[in-house]
Amino acid sequence: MKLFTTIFLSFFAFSVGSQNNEVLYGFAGLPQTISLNPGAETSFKFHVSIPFLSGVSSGFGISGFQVSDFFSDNNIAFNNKISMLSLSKRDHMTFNSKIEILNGGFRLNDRTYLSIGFYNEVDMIGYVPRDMAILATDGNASHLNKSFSFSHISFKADLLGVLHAGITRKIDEKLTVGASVKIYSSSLNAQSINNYGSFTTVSGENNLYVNYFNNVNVDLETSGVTRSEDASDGAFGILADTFLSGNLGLGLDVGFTYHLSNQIEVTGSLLDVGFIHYSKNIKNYKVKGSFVFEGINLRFNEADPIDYWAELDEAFNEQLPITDNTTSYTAWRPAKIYSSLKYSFGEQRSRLCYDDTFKNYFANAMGVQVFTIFRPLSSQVALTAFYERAFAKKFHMKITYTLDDYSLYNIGAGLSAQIGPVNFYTTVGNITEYTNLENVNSISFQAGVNLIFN
Amino acid sequence: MKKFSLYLFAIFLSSCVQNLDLDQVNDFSLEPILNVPLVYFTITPSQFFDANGANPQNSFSDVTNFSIFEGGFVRNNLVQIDFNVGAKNLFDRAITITIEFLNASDQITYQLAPILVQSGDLNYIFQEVVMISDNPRMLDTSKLKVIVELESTGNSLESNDLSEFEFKSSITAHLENK
Repeated sequence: MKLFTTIFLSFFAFSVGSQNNEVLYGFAGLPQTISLNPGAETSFKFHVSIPFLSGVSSGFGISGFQVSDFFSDNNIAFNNKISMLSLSKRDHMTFNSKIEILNGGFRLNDRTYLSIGFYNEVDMIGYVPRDMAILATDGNASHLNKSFSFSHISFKADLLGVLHAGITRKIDEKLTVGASVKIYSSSLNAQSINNYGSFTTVSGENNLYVNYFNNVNVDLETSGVTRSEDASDGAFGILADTFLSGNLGLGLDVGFTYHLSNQIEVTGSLLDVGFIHYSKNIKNYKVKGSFVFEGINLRFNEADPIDYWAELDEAFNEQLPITDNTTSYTAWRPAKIYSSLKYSFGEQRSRLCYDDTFKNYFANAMGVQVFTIFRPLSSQVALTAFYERAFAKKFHMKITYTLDDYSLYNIGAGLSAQIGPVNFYTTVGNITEYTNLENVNSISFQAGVNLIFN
Repeated sequence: MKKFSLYLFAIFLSSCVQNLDLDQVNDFSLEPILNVPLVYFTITPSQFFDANGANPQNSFSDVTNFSIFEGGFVRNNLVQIDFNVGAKNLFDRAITITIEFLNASDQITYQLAPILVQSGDLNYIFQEVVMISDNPRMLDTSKLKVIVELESTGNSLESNDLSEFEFKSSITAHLENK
């Protein structure tokens, strides 16, 4: 009960996370490593999850600023703190949280392991709309000739359920490969990406100033945000749609493990290569066009008065219309790539495998991992160095040091322990910053309980 | 494992945020200052005559709807508005521009000081600052009336004279949203 309470308290306390699971990747042959690399090697006969507890992962990331930049008690006016930040359009906030509802697998034969599962995921990224923020806080008066770019508006948010079924196949003693098919069911989506165009104010020829809306194209696509009358009401309805009754999509994970020698291993995986077709409860908005406003040109035709404002309104709506529609759309999932090079060394031990044979392994391992996720404006890359140690056959620890967009000194730690068939694992990213949250750029947390049978 | 769990839980419990004052968010305000072009026109002496070049008149006017104060955000957050004018007068006499702000019933809600542009002034600049707190009726404005008036010099105006009078204007709106 204490464990249960701890995990759930932790989940709600840290219900935010980045997508990189640098500690969990390749860690201790856990069942969850298959979800990060379908070609990961495992040594058990079958595993089953404890519903809702087999995997909880959360974390967040912020680049470009920290909470303390805004809220430090340092007698600087709040507005001044904002204006002092030098943010770029690449700075962003991410939020990711996953909870495994079901996860299980069994060994079909000596070479083949099948797995299946279902998890819910919330994934969000929002880039700093720097130019729009400047326009909203400063206005255009002190920024004549500056082009405020609408491309800075870029965000994606998704709530979805993922049903996955995979196969891991040992090709020979050196190579193991795997693949997993995913069916996505999204109940909520909102995205505004690939926007362009600008707003500029310049000194005019005919009038003092001219406002230019130049080649503007701003889209907001939503699904599930505005729900139809026949849709299930409230949070339950939204959650229910993640169970294969929402907007459906298809995805694929692939991966491999290859032993260059007895001590050196290379792994790689490509995850979430897929899409979701959104067709339910759609409400999209679009602003597209160009408009030049240089004021109202009075003609002083008293005999035939002109309705200038109506002319202006008509021209604006014609040249820069704001439209809405319910057209379905397709969005790609954020694909991810993991790769690692691992060197094992030290004391050699052996463990019982699924086929009642003993497999030798080294007590220590160290190596590097590279993680890449493809996001709307650019891909994000993280480089991790790690050290892993097996204190006993079923007691493993992993320490990581990660360089990424958020931090240059992110230290993570993970622990996996198994008592009988009950396996408990937990990993924490950026562990040294947990007592210094006001200055943290990212934190992540994962935990789970599995039943593993050899 | 138990110890590790307790250690993790201890970290979570000890996770703290020091020296932060979250109430500062209440001090956040949007204070944009926006430059927006207003009315502009160019007139020639012929416009003071009828279509036949006869019946000279001393003044004429035009009215346009002016709905920027009807929007909730502007109406609720406008604290100051600056009226900026630039003019060039090539006429052989002074011209006075009067700008009246009218409500829906054509009653004056605010009137700018007369803008007197002397003959030959090629770089006339005028600015008037209106504080909304002192002139709340300004927010009821829905029309803008511009009156052009010639100085009476005793000499008649030539309808075929090609001299021009140019008028440009803008508003600088100071908004404050807390």
